[in-house]
Amino acid sequence: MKTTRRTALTISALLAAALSPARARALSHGPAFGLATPTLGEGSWVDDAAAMTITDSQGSSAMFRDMIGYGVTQDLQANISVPLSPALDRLAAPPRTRGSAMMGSFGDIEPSLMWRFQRRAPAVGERYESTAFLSGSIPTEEAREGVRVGPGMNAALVTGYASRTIYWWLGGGYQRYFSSGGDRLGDLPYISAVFGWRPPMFRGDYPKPDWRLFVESLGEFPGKDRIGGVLNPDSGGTKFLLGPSALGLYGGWGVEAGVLFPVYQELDGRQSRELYRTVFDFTYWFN
Amino acid sequence: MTKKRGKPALLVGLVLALAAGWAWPVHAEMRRVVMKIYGMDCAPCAHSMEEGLKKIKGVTKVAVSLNKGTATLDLAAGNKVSLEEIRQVVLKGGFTPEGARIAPAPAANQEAQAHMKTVFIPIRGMVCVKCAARIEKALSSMDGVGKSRVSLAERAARVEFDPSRVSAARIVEVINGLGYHAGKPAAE
Repeated sequence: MKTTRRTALTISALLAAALSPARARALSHGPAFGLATPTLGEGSWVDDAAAMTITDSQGSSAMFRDMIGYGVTQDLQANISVPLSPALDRLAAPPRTRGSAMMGSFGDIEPSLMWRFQRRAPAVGERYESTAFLSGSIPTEEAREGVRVGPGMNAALVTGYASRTIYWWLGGGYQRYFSSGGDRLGDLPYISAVFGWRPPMFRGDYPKPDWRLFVESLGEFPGKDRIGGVLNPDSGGTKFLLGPSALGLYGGWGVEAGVLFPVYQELDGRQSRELYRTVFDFTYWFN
Repeated sequence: MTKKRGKPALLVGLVLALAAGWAWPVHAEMRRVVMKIYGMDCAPCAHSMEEGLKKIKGVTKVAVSLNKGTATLDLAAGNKVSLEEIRQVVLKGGFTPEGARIAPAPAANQEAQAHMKTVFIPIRGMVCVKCAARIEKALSSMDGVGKSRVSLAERAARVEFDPSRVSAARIVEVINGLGYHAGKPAAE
Protein backbone atom coordinates (compact mmCIF):
# COMPACT_ATOMS: atom_id res chain seq x y z
CA MET A 1 0.00 0.00 0.00
CA LYS A 2 2.82 2.28 0.99
CA THR A 3 4.74 1.42 -2.18
CA THR A 4 1.65 2.04 -4.32
CA ARG A 5 1.17 5.44 -2.70
CA ARG A 6 4.78 6.39 -3.35
CA THR A 7 4.67 5.21 -6.94
CA ALA A 8 1.46 7.15 -7.57
CA LEU A 9 3.03 10.22 -6.01
CA THR A 10 6.12 9.95 -8.15
CA ILE A 11 4.11 9.46 -11.34
CA SER A 12 1.82 12.39 -10.46
CA ALA A 13 4.78 14.66 -9.86
CA LEU A 14 6.46 13.66 -13.10
CA LEU A 15 3.21 14.15 -15.01
CA ALA A 16 2.66 17.52 -13.40
CA ALA A 17 6.14 18.59 -14.42
CA ALA A 18 5.81 17.22 -17.93
CA LEU A 19 2.30 18.48 -18.65
CA SER A 20 2.49 21.92 -17.09
CA PRO A 21 1.98 24.46 -19.90
CA ALA A 22 5.27 26.05 -19.01
CA ARG A 23 7.60 25.29 -16.20
CA ALA A 24 9.52 27.13 -13.47
CA ARG A 25 13.02 28.68 -11.57
CA ALA A 26 14.08 26.27 -8.77
CA LEU A 27 16.90 27.19 -6.56
CA SER A 28 16.47 30.37 -8.50
CA HIS A 29 19.57 32.06 -9.83
CA GLY A 30 21.05 32.03 -6.37
CA PRO A 31 22.77 29.57 -4.09
CA ALA A 32 22.41 25.78 -4.00
CA PHE A 33 21.81 25.38 -0.26
CA GLY A 34 21.04 28.78 1.26
CA LEU A 35 18.09 31.12 1.09
CA ALA A 36 17.91 33.72 -1.69
CA THR A 37 15.58 36.54 -2.65
CA PRO A 38 14.77 36.45 -6.40
CA THR A 39 11.20 35.77 -7.47
CA LEU A 40 9.79 35.09 -10.92
CA GLY A 41 8.32 37.73 -13.19
CA GLU A 42 4.55 37.86 -13.45
CA GLY A 43 3.21 34.97 -15.52
CA SER A 44 6.58 33.15 -15.69
CA TRP A 45 7.16 29.52 -14.75
CA VAL A 46 10.20 27.62 -13.62
CA ASP A 47 10.97 23.95 -13.24
CA ASP A 48 13.77 22.97 -10.93
CA ALA A 49 14.95 19.38 -10.61
CA ALA A 50 17.50 18.66 -7.91
CA ALA A 51 19.46 15.65 -6.68
CA MET A 52 20.65 15.91 -3.09
CA THR A 53 22.77 13.59 -1.01
CA ILE A 54 23.78 13.50 2.63
CA THR A 55 26.64 11.28 3.68
CA ASP A 56 27.56 10.37 7.26
CA SER A 57 29.72 7.73 8.84
CA GLN A 58 26.95 5.11 8.31
CA GLY A 59 26.29 5.69 4.58
CA SER A 60 24.35 8.02 2.29
CA SER A 61 20.83 9.31 1.76
CA ALA A 62 19.80 10.52 -1.67
CA MET A 63 16.76 12.45 -2.78
CA PHE A 64 15.49 13.73 -6.10
CA ARG A 65 13.11 16.65 -5.86
CA ASP A 66 11.26 18.72 -8.39
CA MET A 67 9.95 22.20 -7.78
CA ILE A 68 7.55 24.05 -10.03
CA GLY A 69 7.15 27.77 -9.47
CA TYR A 70 4.82 30.37 -10.93
CA GLY A 71 5.07 34.16 -10.78
CA VAL A 72 1.64 35.31 -9.56
CA THR A 73 2.89 38.90 -9.63
CA GLN A 74 6.42 40.25 -10.05
CA ASP A 75 6.84 39.97 -6.26
CA LEU A 76 4.76 36.92 -5.37
CA GLN A 77 5.72 33.39 -6.39
CA ALA A 78 3.83 30.18 -5.70
CA ASN A 79 5.72 26.87 -5.69
CA ILE A 80 5.23 23.23 -5.13
CA SER A 81 8.19 21.03 -4.34
CA VAL A 82 7.82 17.24 -4.39
CA PRO A 83 10.16 14.36 -3.64
CA LEU A 84 10.53 12.17 -6.72
CA SER A 85 12.55 9.29 -5.36
CA PRO A 86 11.21 7.92 -2.09
CA ALA A 87 12.66 4.51 -2.90
CA LEU A 88 16.28 5.62 -3.04
CA ASP A 89 18.73 4.65 -0.28
CA ARG A 90 18.00 6.24 3.03
CA LEU A 91 20.16 6.45 6.09
CA ALA A 92 18.75 4.70 9.13
CA ALA A 93 18.79 8.00 10.99
CA PRO A 94 19.34 10.87 8.56
CA PRO A 95 20.10 14.26 10.08
CA ARG A 96 17.26 16.75 10.49
CA THR A 97 17.70 19.18 7.63
CA ARG A 98 15.83 20.71 4.75
CA GLY A 99 18.59 19.57 2.39
CA SER A 100 18.34 22.79 0.44
CA ALA A 101 16.76 25.66 2.35
CA MET A 102 14.39 26.54 -0.49
CA MET A 103 13.16 23.11 -1.49
CA GLY A 104 11.77 21.31 1.54
CA SER A 105 12.82 18.39 3.71
CA PHE A 106 13.49 14.84 2.63
CA GLY A 107 10.19 13.03 2.12
CA ASP A 108 7.93 16.11 2.31
CA ILE A 109 5.68 17.65 -0.34
CA GLU A 110 6.01 21.36 0.18
CA PRO A 111 3.69 24.00 -1.30
CA SER A 112 5.12 27.46 -0.65
CA LEU A 113 4.69 31.16 -1.25
CA MET A 114 7.55 33.63 -1.71
CA TRP A 115 6.79 37.31 -1.24
CA ARG A 116 9.47 39.80 -2.24
CA PHE A 117 8.32 42.59 0.06
CA GLN A 118 11.19 44.99 -0.52
CA ARG A 119 13.27 45.76 -3.59
CA ARG A 120 15.41 48.62 -4.80
CA ALA A 121 17.39 48.82 -8.01
CA PRO A 122 19.89 51.67 -7.59
CA ALA A 123 21.83 51.09 -10.83
CA VAL A 124 22.28 48.93 -13.90
CA GLY A 125 22.45 45.26 -12.88
CA GLU A 126 22.06 45.95 -9.14
CA ARG A 127 19.27 44.96 -6.77
CA TYR A 128 18.75 45.05 -3.03
CA GLU A 129 15.77 42.97 -2.00
CA SER A 130 14.13 41.03 0.81
CA THR A 131 11.82 38.06 0.58
CA ALA A 132 9.59 36.15 2.98
CA PHE A 133 8.78 32.45 2.62
CA LEU A 134 5.83 30.56 4.00
CA SER A 135 5.32 26.89 3.31
CA GLY A 136 3.43 23.88 4.51
CA SER A 137 4.74 20.34 4.44
CA ILE A 138 2.86 17.13 3.81
CA PRO A 139 4.84 13.98 4.66
CA THR A 140 4.92 11.15 2.15
CA GLU A 141 5.79 8.57 4.81
CA GLU A 142 4.20 7.63 8.11
CA ALA A 143 7.38 7.57 10.18
CA ARG A 144 10.86 9.05 9.89
CA GLU A 145 13.78 7.99 12.07
CA GLY A 146 11.29 5.97 14.12
CA VAL A 147 9.14 9.03 14.76
CA ARG A 148 5.65 9.34 13.28
CA VAL A 149 5.59 12.39 11.03
CA GLY A 150 2.84 14.96 10.97
CA PRO A 151 2.36 17.89 8.61
CA GLY A 152 4.48 20.96 9.19
CA MET A 153 4.98 24.66 8.56
CA ASN A 154 8.07 26.57 7.56
CA ALA A 155 8.66 30.33 7.58
CA ALA A 156 11.81 32.16 6.55
CA LEU A 157 13.14 35.64 5.83
CA VAL A 158 16.06 36.55 3.61
CA THR A 159 17.63 39.79 2.47
CA GLY A 160 20.40 40.34 -0.02
CA TYR A 161 22.12 42.05 -2.91
CA ALA A 162 22.67 40.99 -6.52
CA SER A 163 24.81 42.67 -9.16
CA ARG A 164 26.86 41.77 -12.21
CA THR A 165 29.92 41.07 -10.06
CA ILE A 166 29.03 40.17 -6.45
CA TYR A 167 26.07 38.74 -4.54
CA TRP A 168 25.20 38.16 -0.93
CA TRP A 169 22.21 36.85 0.96
CA LEU A 170 21.55 36.49 4.67
CA GLY A 171 18.53 34.63 5.96
CA GLY A 172 16.98 32.43 8.54
CA GLY A 173 13.94 30.27 9.01
CA TYR A 174 12.01 28.01 11.32
CA GLN A 175 10.40 24.69 10.48
CA ARG A 176 7.85 23.18 12.82
CA TYR A 177 6.27 19.75 12.57
CA PHE A 178 2.93 19.03 14.20
CA SER A 179 2.46 15.91 16.25
CA SER A 180 1.20 12.65 14.82
CA GLY A 181 -0.03 9.92 17.15
CA GLY A 182 1.81 11.40 20.14
CA ASP A 183 5.11 11.71 18.23
CA ARG A 184 6.58 14.92 16.93
CA LEU A 185 9.76 15.74 15.01
CA GLY A 186 11.79 18.46 16.68
CA ASP A 187 11.59 21.99 15.36
CA LEU A 188 14.32 23.08 12.96
CA PRO A 189 15.58 26.66 13.21
CA TYR A 190 18.20 27.41 10.54
CA ILE A 191 20.26 30.29 9.20
CA SER A 192 22.16 30.75 5.97
CA ALA A 193 24.74 33.16 4.59
CA VAL A 194 25.94 33.24 1.00
CA PHE A 195 28.58 35.25 -0.81
CA GLY A 196 28.82 35.08 -4.61
CA TRP A 197 31.26 36.34 -7.22
CA ARG A 198 31.31 36.35 -10.99
CA PRO A 199 34.85 35.99 -12.42
CA PRO A 200 35.77 38.71 -14.97
CA MET A 201 35.92 36.17 -17.82
CA PHE A 202 32.20 35.44 -17.27
CA ARG A 203 31.04 39.05 -17.29
CA GLY A 204 30.33 38.99 -21.03
CA ASP A 205 27.02 40.40 -22.16
CA TYR A 206 23.84 38.41 -22.79
CA PRO A 207 23.42 35.96 -24.51
CA LYS A 208 26.87 34.70 -23.51
CA PRO A 209 26.88 32.07 -20.73
CA ASP A 210 26.78 33.46 -17.25
CA TRP A 211 28.73 31.66 -14.47
CA ARG A 212 29.01 32.54 -10.82
CA LEU A 213 30.71 31.02 -7.79
CA PHE A 214 29.35 30.99 -4.26
CA VAL A 215 30.64 30.31 -0.78
CA GLU A 216 27.70 29.05 1.23
CA SER A 217 27.26 28.51 4.93
CA LEU A 218 24.38 26.95 6.77
CA GLY A 219 23.60 26.68 10.48
CA GLU A 220 21.02 24.15 11.71
CA PHE A 221 19.73 23.85 15.28
CA PRO A 222 17.26 20.92 15.35
CA GLY A 223 15.29 20.41 18.54
CA LYS A 224 14.65 17.08 20.16
CA ASP A 225 12.07 14.67 18.74
CA ARG A 226 9.23 13.39 20.91
CA ILE A 227 8.22 9.74 20.78
CA GLY A 228 4.96 9.02 22.58
CA GLY A 229 5.30 12.43 24.21
CA VAL A 230 8.77 11.64 25.58
CA LEU A 231 11.88 13.51 24.44
CA ASN A 232 14.31 11.41 22.43
CA PRO A 233 17.79 12.00 23.90
CA ASP A 234 19.44 10.86 20.66
CA SER A 235 18.16 13.80 18.66
CA GLY A 236 18.78 17.52 18.38
CA GLY A 237 22.01 19.49 18.34
CA THR A 238 23.86 22.21 16.48
CA LYS A 239 25.59 22.04 13.13
CA PHE A 240 27.42 24.58 10.97
CA LEU A 241 28.34 23.75 7.39
CA LEU A 242 30.46 25.57 4.82
CA GLY A 243 31.26 24.91 1.18
CA PRO A 244 31.41 26.09 -2.43
CA SER A 245 28.85 25.97 -5.20
CA ALA A 246 28.84 27.04 -8.85
CA LEU A 247 25.95 28.18 -11.00
CA GLY A 248 25.93 28.34 -14.80
CA LEU A 249 23.18 30.15 -16.70
CA TYR A 250 22.51 30.27 -20.41
CA GLY A 251 19.33 31.78 -21.80
CA GLY A 252 16.51 30.08 -19.93
CA TRP A 253 18.70 27.23 -18.64
CA GLY A 254 20.54 26.90 -15.37
CA VAL A 255 22.77 24.21 -13.87
CA GLU A 256 24.16 24.29 -10.35
CA ALA A 257 26.29 22.06 -8.15
CA GLY A 258 27.53 22.47 -4.61
CA VAL A 259 28.96 20.67 -1.62
CA LEU A 260 28.84 21.54 2.09
CA PHE A 261 31.15 20.20 4.80
CA PRO A 262 30.36 20.41 8.52
CA VAL A 263 32.78 22.73 10.29
CA TYR A 264 31.10 22.32 13.68
CA GLN A 265 28.83 19.55 14.97
CA GLU A 266 27.51 19.20 18.48
CA LEU A 267 24.97 16.39 18.39
CA ASP A 268 22.98 15.23 21.40
CA GLY A 269 23.09 11.57 22.43
CA ARG A 270 24.10 8.93 19.91
CA GLN A 271 23.89 10.31 16.38
CA SER A 272 26.05 9.76 13.33
CA ARG A 273 28.35 12.60 12.41
CA GLU A 274 27.68 14.07 8.98
CA LEU A 275 30.59 14.03 6.51
CA TYR A 276 29.25 16.14 3.64
CA ARG A 277 26.14 16.93 1.62
CA THR A 278 25.79 17.69 -2.09
CA VAL A 279 23.27 19.25 -4.46
CA PHE A 280 23.09 19.04 -8.22
CA ASP A 281 20.35 21.16 -9.71
CA PHE A 282 18.93 21.68 -13.17
CA THR A 283 16.57 24.55 -13.94
CA TYR A 284 14.53 25.80 -16.84
CA TRP A 285 12.67 29.10 -16.94
CA PHE A 286 9.52 29.39 -19.07
CA ASN A 287 8.42 32.85 -20.08
CA MET B 1 -14.90 95.73 -28.60
CA THR B 2 -13.91 93.61 -31.57
CA LYS B 3 -10.81 92.38 -29.66
CA LYS B 4 -12.93 91.33 -26.63
CA ARG B 5 -15.21 89.23 -28.85
CA GLY B 6 -12.23 87.70 -30.64
CA LYS B 7 -10.77 85.87 -27.60
CA PRO B 8 -13.86 83.76 -26.76
CA ALA B 9 -14.24 82.96 -30.43
CA LEU B 10 -10.63 81.76 -30.55
CA LEU B 11 -11.20 79.58 -27.47
CA VAL B 12 -14.33 78.07 -28.93
CA GLY B 13 -12.46 77.40 -32.14
CA LEU B 14 -9.64 75.67 -30.24
CA VAL B 15 -12.07 73.49 -28.27
CA LEU B 16 -13.86 72.51 -31.47
CA ALA B 17 -10.56 71.74 -33.14
CA LEU B 18 -9.55 69.48 -30.22
CA ALA B 19 -12.94 67.78 -30.28
CA ALA B 20 -12.55 67.14 -33.99
CA GLY B 21 -9.34 65.31 -33.18
CA TRP B 22 -6.95 67.22 -35.42
CA ALA B 23 -5.09 69.19 -32.77
CA TRP B 24 -2.02 67.44 -31.26
CA PRO B 25 -1.38 63.79 -31.97
CA VAL B 26 -2.02 61.80 -28.80
CA HIS B 27 0.34 59.02 -29.84
CA ALA B 28 3.24 59.39 -32.23
CA GLU B 29 4.53 56.20 -33.87
CA MET B 30 7.85 54.96 -32.58
CA ARG B 31 10.11 52.72 -34.66
CA ARG B 32 12.94 52.04 -32.22
CA VAL B 33 12.96 52.36 -28.42
CA VAL B 34 15.95 51.91 -26.13
CA MET B 35 14.61 51.29 -22.61
CA LYS B 36 16.99 51.69 -19.68
CA ILE B 37 16.35 48.94 -17.13
CA TYR B 38 17.77 48.67 -13.61
CA GLY B 39 18.02 45.45 -11.63
CA MET B 40 18.76 42.81 -14.31
CA ASP B 41 21.74 40.80 -13.11
CA CYS B 42 21.63 37.43 -14.85
CA ALA B 43 21.07 35.62 -18.15
CA PRO B 44 17.58 34.37 -17.19
CA CYS B 45 16.64 37.97 -16.27
CA ALA B 46 17.63 39.09 -19.78
CA HIS B 47 15.99 36.04 -21.33
CA SER B 48 12.66 36.65 -19.56
CA MET B 49 12.78 40.34 -20.49
CA GLU B 50 13.52 39.50 -24.12
CA GLU B 51 10.67 36.99 -24.31
CA GLY B 52 8.24 39.29 -22.50
CA LEU B 53 8.96 42.28 -24.74
CA LYS B 54 8.70 40.15 -27.89
CA LYS B 55 5.09 39.40 -26.97
CA ILE B 56 4.08 43.06 -27.40
CA LYS B 57 2.12 43.37 -30.64
CA GLY B 58 4.10 45.46 -33.10
CA VAL B 59 7.55 44.57 -31.75
CA THR B 60 9.69 42.98 -34.47
CA LYS B 61 13.02 42.57 -32.67
CA VAL B 62 14.35 42.81 -29.12
CA ALA B 63 17.99 42.99 -28.04
CA VAL B 64 18.78 43.00 -24.31
CA SER B 65 22.14 44.06 -22.89
CA LEU B 66 22.83 43.10 -19.27
CA ASN B 67 26.03 45.13 -19.10
CA LYS B 68 24.41 48.31 -20.41
CA GLY B 69 21.07 47.62 -18.70
CA THR B 70 19.08 48.24 -21.86
CA ALA B 71 16.43 46.63 -24.02
CA THR B 72 16.35 47.82 -27.63
CA LEU B 73 13.03 47.27 -29.39
CA ASP B 74 12.47 47.59 -33.14
CA LEU B 75 8.85 48.27 -33.96
CA ALA B 76 6.88 47.59 -37.12
CA ALA B 77 5.48 50.37 -39.28
CA GLY B 78 1.99 51.29 -38.17
CA ASN B 79 2.51 49.87 -34.67
CA LYS B 80 0.42 51.12 -31.76
CA VAL B 81 3.04 50.43 -29.09
CA SER B 82 3.32 53.00 -26.30
CA LEU B 83 6.16 53.59 -23.86
CA GLU B 84 3.76 52.81 -21.00
CA GLU B 85 3.07 49.37 -22.48
CA ILE B 86 6.82 48.66 -22.57
CA ARG B 87 7.24 49.99 -19.01
CA GLN B 88 4.50 47.67 -17.76
CA VAL B 89 6.22 44.61 -19.26
CA VAL B 90 9.48 45.60 -17.55
CA LEU B 91 7.70 46.12 -14.21
CA LYS B 92 5.87 42.80 -14.46
CA GLY B 93 9.20 41.13 -15.12
CA GLY B 94 10.31 42.36 -11.68
CA PHE B 95 12.70 45.06 -12.91
CA THR B 96 12.80 48.84 -12.82
CA PRO B 97 12.32 50.91 -16.01
CA GLU B 98 14.52 53.98 -15.70
CA GLY B 99 13.67 55.88 -18.87
CA ALA B 100 13.59 55.46 -22.61
CA ARG B 101 15.26 56.91 -25.64
CA ILE B 102 13.38 56.89 -28.91
CA ALA B 103 15.89 56.35 -31.69
CA PRO B 104 15.23 56.57 -35.42
CA ALA B 105 14.41 53.22 -37.00
CA PRO B 106 17.05 51.68 -39.26
CA ALA B 107 14.78 52.11 -42.27
CA ALA B 108 14.22 55.76 -41.45
CA ASN B 109 17.98 56.19 -41.13
CA GLN B 110 18.53 54.72 -44.58
CA GLU B 111 15.88 56.99 -46.04
CA ALA B 112 17.50 60.02 -44.44
CA GLN B 113 20.91 58.84 -45.63
CA ALA B 114 19.65 58.76 -49.23
CA HIS B 115 18.75 62.46 -49.01
CA MET B 116 22.10 63.57 -47.61
CA LYS B 117 24.48 65.67 -49.71
CA THR B 118 28.18 66.34 -49.19
CA VAL B 119 29.93 69.62 -49.97
CA PHE B 120 33.56 70.65 -50.01
CA ILE B 121 34.12 74.11 -48.50
CA PRO B 122 37.54 75.81 -48.65
CA ILE B 123 38.35 77.72 -45.45
CA ARG B 124 40.92 80.46 -44.91
CA GLY B 125 42.14 81.64 -41.51
CA MET B 126 42.82 78.30 -39.79
CA VAL B 127 46.27 78.25 -38.13
CA CYS B 128 46.22 75.18 -35.88
CA VAL B 129 44.40 71.93 -35.17
CA LYS B 130 42.35 73.70 -32.51
CA CYS B 131 40.83 75.91 -35.21
CA ALA B 132 39.87 72.83 -37.21
CA ALA B 133 38.39 71.16 -34.14
CA ARG B 134 36.44 74.30 -33.25
CA ILE B 135 34.85 74.50 -36.71
CA GLU B 136 34.13 70.75 -36.73
CA LYS B 137 32.40 70.98 -33.34
CA ALA B 138 30.25 73.92 -34.48
CA LEU B 139 29.23 72.11 -37.66
CA SER B 140 28.44 68.86 -35.83
CA SER B 141 26.07 70.67 -33.50
CA MET B 142 24.02 72.08 -36.41
CA ASP B 143 20.60 70.58 -37.00
CA GLY B 144 20.58 68.73 -40.33
CA VAL B 145 24.33 68.21 -40.48
CA GLY B 146 25.56 64.59 -40.50
CA LYS B 147 29.25 63.83 -40.65
CA SER B 148 31.66 66.75 -40.90
CA ARG B 149 35.44 66.64 -41.20
CA VAL B 150 37.68 69.71 -41.16
CA SER B 151 41.23 69.31 -42.49
CA LEU B 152 43.94 71.76 -41.54
CA ALA B 153 46.24 70.38 -44.24
CA GLU B 154 43.64 70.88 -46.97
CA ARG B 155 42.37 74.10 -45.40
CA ALA B 156 38.87 72.84 -46.10
CA ALA B 157 35.81 71.11 -44.68
CA ARG B 158 33.79 68.20 -46.02
CA VAL B 159 30.26 68.44 -44.67
CA GLU B 160 27.40 65.97 -45.06
CA PHE B 161 24.00 67.60 -44.65
CA ASP B 162 20.30 67.17 -45.28
CA PRO B 163 19.24 69.93 -47.72
CA SER B 164 15.65 69.73 -46.50
CA ARG B 165 16.79 70.86 -43.05
CA VAL B 166 19.81 73.10 -43.64
CA SER B 167 21.38 74.85 -46.64
CA ALA B 168 25.01 75.01 -47.73
CA ALA B 169 24.76 78.81 -47.43
CA ARG B 170 23.82 78.45 -43.74
CA ILE B 171 26.88 76.23 -43.17
CA VAL B 172 29.08 78.90 -44.77
CA GLU B 173 27.51 81.50 -42.50
CA VAL B 174 28.30 79.46 -39.39
CA ILE B 175 31.96 79.06 -40.42
CA ASN B 176 32.25 82.76 -41.16
CA GLY B 177 30.57 83.53 -37.84
CA LEU B 178 33.47 81.80 -36.07
CA GLY B 179 35.92 84.29 -37.62
CA TYR B 180 37.13 82.26 -40.61
CA HIS B 181 36.57 82.79 -44.30
CA ALA B 182 34.60 80.07 -46.03
CA GLY B 183 34.79 79.86 -49.82
CA LYS B 184 32.14 78.71 -52.29
CA PRO B 185 30.79 75.21 -51.46
CA ALA B 186 31.32 72.59 -54.16
CA ALA B 187 29.22 69.44 -54.39
CA GLU B 188 31.11 66.15 -54.04
